[in-house]
Amino acid sequence: MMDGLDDSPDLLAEDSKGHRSVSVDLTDTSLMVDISDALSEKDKVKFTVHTKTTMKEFKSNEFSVVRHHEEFIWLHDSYVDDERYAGILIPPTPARPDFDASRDKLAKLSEGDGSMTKEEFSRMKQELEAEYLSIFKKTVAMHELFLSRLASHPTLRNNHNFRVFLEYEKELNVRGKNKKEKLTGFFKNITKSADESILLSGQKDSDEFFDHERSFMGEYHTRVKDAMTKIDKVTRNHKQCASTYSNISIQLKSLATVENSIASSHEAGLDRSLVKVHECIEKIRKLDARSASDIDLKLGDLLRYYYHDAQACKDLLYRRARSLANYEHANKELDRSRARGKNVHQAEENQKTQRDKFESLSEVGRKELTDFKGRRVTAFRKNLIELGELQLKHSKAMVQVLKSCISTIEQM
Amino acid sequence: MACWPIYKAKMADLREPPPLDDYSENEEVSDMLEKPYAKEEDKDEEKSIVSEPVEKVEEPKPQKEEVATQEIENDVSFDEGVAGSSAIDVVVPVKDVPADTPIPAPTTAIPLDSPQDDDAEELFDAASSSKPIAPISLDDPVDTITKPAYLRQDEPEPEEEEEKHDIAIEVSDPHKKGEGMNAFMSYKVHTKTSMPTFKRPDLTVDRRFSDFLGLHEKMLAKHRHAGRVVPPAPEKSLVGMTLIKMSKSDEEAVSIDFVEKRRAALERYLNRIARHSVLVQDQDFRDFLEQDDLPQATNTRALSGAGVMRLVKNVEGAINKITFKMTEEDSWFEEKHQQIESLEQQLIKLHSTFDTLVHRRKELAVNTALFAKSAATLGNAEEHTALSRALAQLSDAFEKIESVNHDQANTDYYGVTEALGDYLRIISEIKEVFMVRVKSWHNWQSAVQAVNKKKEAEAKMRAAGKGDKVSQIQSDLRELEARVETSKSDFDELSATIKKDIQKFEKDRIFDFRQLVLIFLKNLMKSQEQCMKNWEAFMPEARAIA
Repeated sequence: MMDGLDDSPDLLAEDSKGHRSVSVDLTDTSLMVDISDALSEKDKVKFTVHTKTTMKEFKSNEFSVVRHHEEFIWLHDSYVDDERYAGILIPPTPARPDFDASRDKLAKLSEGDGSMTKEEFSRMKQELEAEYLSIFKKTVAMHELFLSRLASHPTLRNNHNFRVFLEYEKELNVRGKNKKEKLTGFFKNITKSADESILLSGQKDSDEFFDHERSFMGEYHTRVKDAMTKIDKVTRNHKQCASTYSNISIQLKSLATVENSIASSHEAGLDRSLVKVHECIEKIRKLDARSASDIDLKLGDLLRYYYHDAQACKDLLYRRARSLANYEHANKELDRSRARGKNVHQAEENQKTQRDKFESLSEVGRKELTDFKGRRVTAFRKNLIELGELQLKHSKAMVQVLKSCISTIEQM
Repeated sequence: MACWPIYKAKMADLREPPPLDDYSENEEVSDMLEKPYAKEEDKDEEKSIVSEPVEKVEEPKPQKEEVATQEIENDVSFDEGVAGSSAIDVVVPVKDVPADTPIPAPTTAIPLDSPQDDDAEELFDAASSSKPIAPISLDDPVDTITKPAYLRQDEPEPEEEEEKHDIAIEVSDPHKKGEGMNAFMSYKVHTKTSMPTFKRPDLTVDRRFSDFLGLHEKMLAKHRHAGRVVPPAPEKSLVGMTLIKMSKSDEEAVSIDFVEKRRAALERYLNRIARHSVLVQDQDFRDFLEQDDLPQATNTRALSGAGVMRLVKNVEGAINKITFKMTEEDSWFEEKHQQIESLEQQLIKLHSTFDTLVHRRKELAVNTALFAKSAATLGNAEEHTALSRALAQLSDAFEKIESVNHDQANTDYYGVTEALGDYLRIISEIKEVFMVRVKSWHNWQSAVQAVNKKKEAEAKMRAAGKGDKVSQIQSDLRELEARVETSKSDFDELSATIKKDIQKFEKDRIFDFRQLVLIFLKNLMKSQEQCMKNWEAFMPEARAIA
């Protein structure tokens, strides 16, 4: 019986590995990027980006720079805007660090709520700090993943901006988008989606592969998004349940104090039983909270990442469709020019560049999309196995804790 | 402590008649008399544990009777004595007890035997006496839960009690009667008992909710003023009733959550009465379980009346608490007051937290089901065959988790939240009973004051030399002094009954709470075991993704 209790701390021990939910194949070691440190300041997080490389393009083999979130966005946008990468899946931007919610809660907590006991207060504080820390870790991991994907991509890694991002020691001085830019960005998005729906529906694609990808991605994107929002709700509820356990555990302890003062309850050992239950529920809370956060990490983040990646795929397909439209337009122009006998050469040139562009884009895109599928299956496999194993582990641990507690109480 | 010495002295006087007065350990017995009051000091010492076996050894001795008045709940004869003043037709097992002597000499007979002697003529004597250890049918709602060790220690006591309390009541088969606004739910009340006071060992009657309320009113009217903690009846629910009235068919009405909730509450209510050694003997209670046609309860409150009445009562109680300040002379009551108060505070918190847990878990179940659907459609969209299968399996796993969560929310609700709610209502009833005692104390005090005034008047008369009026005053005084005596003994009896009932309450509560936490933990464990199975079934599919 006591063994069971002694074992449990082990089961409760933090598993340090596996924070990153989506991994990247890093067999190529010529350029390795990681985030060695991160500092949370008032309204932004500063990431220390550490690079190790054997590539000659860099001045030294190992260096670190400090970057913040906006600079990551800038890097991402510079890839998206670069036509050379039109056929490539640009890794999705890491989510903006969002500590507002937990910071607000922390502030509210420190303002002090009279109804809370000291113990409840410290418990709440601990929980919030843990929550803060986990968001922080997750943010760092997502930013690191973004860089790792760029670094491991044979084409994207050679980008000048990327090198600057990694190497340039001073601030890049990118600013956040101003209002005008945001507005144009907004309109761009509208025209893009309008364009997309017209193009994608009206365009005839002779290429079966892309035709299929297009319909698949559209479907996949919506469904993965749906699954993502639903699992987020589940984990949120699950975490709420776990935190209710914490309240129950605290209250059982105070009830035990009351029972201790009642002679007959004390004699019957009810107070001691309740303390035991309190300890047990406390362990259950920890395990249940971990179970919830593991679902979040292994399933929620997976779906979230592939939602964004599917978006990147859709963007790629859009760029290809756009290019195809350009190519068809150039064809028409060429026909017209030929009919009129004017500017034939120029039209031919134009048609040729459009065709080359389209063809190379298609070729790269095909490879990228095939890679994406392989990557997706591998990632799902890894994460689903880990999810199952972790859930099994937590459930087993809970059963063990409960079993020993029940038998203790029954023997009392 | 002005009250207590008198009380003790009275007990000491009563101890003289029994023949075994020269019992060598008499000193210890009087120590034991004080035990409930001295509990605080020795609660951590072994003494208290040791004293229990000592008590048992003494059980056959007449001295036991005095102890019983304070500690042993199953001494019906004493209780009937107290109840005697309230002119209730109760079948007293010990028939030759004069109603006015609370602790009569004849009952020096060994308590274990006394019911059997009287039951000799009864039909069920064989059944009741042939059971060396009666099954704890009432106190053991979950069979899997083993009897806690603390109950095993003092075997003789509960055994005896259970023999008298061999009664199990089941409320089942809720069915709708009547149409439209006159519709109501009716329940089958099925009683199984070997108690000789019942006509048959197996009884079934049809009762509607207002019958239960009617019973409760009667019980309250009869027993509260005598200091007994009457189990509170479930509350009326306007929403629930409206739902029933609006439901089209019988099946539809029965499927409403509220009906099951109420059925369970009614069952707990009846069994709580049955657990009380005096209340279970009550004529109205027996009629309720036995008679086919019960006169319609007329004064049960209108639909929303319960709440209003409670409010009025609460206000009244609060005012009483202000106006009736009592100088507590009994440290036992002083302590209990405080304990009950802090217990209530704690239980209110715990109750609402469990309520939150149930709600959140229900919400979790709903969202889990939604995710299961989403995972299934994602699996349909997925073009990789093995991954698609794994996602379908994932959906399956979450579907099962949903039902686990749903079941757990329900079992937590019925096993824990409702039980805590019951206890909260019992506690407020205990507070009512405390108020009854305060009122009785005031009666006594005003009688004492009246005597003092008369005495002053007498002295004045004497000083004034009006001898002729003195004799009149003296006869008044005698009358008033007699009133002091009766009101004081009323108060003492009341205090003793309350004490006994609270001790019973505490004992029941210890048992119930232990069950309650065990139910909670076991449900939790069951859920997690199901989750384990669930994920184990999922693993092969996840590994099969290639």
